[in-house]
Amino acid sequence: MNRCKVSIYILLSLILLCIFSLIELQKQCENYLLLTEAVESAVNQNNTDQALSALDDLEANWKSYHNINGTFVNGSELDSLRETMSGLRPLIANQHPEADSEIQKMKNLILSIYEEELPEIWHIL
Amino acid sequence: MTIVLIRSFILYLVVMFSVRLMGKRQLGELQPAELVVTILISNIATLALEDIEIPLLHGILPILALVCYEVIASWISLKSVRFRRWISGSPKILIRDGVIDQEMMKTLRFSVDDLMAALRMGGVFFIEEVQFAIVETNGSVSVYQKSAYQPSEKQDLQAFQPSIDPPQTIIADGQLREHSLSAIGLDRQWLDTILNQEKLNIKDVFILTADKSSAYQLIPKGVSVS
Repeated sequence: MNRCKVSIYILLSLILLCIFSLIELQKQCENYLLLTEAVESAVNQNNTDQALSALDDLEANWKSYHNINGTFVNGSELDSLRETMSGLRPLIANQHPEADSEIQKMKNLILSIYEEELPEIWHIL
Repeated sequence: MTIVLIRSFILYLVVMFSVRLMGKRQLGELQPAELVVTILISNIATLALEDIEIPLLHGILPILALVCYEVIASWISLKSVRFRRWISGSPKILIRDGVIDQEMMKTLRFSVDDLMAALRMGGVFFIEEVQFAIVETNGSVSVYQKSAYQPSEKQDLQAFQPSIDPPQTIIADGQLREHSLSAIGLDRQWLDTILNQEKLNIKDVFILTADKSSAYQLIPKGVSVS
């Protein structure tokens, strides 16, 4: 009976951990999305300085929470987002037309990090 | 490299904890579900060890979850016969009164060689000696011989002897085990007398065993087979 109780407590802890990870990921991804949209609107207004400044904010935020995200999400998913983020700076600085598509790609990557962790039937299957 | 070392230590602790939580069972005594869980645990642990891109939590979480499911399922099967049958199956009779149930052998995909090997391992070499041969839920075969072929026991010969507890290890490699001494109703005074007789200290004794009748066997340190 003791083993059973311990198992139930462990399972409950694991469920709580999963809920916490989902909440934390949602919070972080929403934050990343907001900052990415700030970069996007600055790029759309051809305001390079503001876009680079917004990108700095995004990168700083990324660095702060990268370790927490890495605890819950597979490293390869975060790596592809980091690569896109680092490739965005020269595109914005040179006002390259591909900057917009890279921003869209980054938004999709951010969304996918959170959405793929959601316990939906298609993700489970 | 250091990360792998630390991760392997953490996973080692998790796997050890999981195995302890599952309880003490020999590999051959595992139910099919327990065996599958044990194999799964080792596979999951390997994945998290090999690939440091996978978060450690992705390795620990399924290991703990599987063990917890297994323990809870064991507990439910303890309470519910129907659930136990569903999880573990039920024992099946292969031989009844010396006659092999061939349909059951087909159902269990049990070959004649498997059956004969199982009988031989049970000390039986002739099928007609078998009253019952039962395939247990863990896959082992229990053999019950016909009474004519069963070995005689002391009570069959009316040779009754009082049952006595087995001897306890009192000193092992120079270390005294007080609880063993008290378990057989002896005390330190008895031990000191024995050691004085043998002119030895506790630390000089390799092994000392004794039973309730105070009969003992003492092997000093440094005595080896030449």
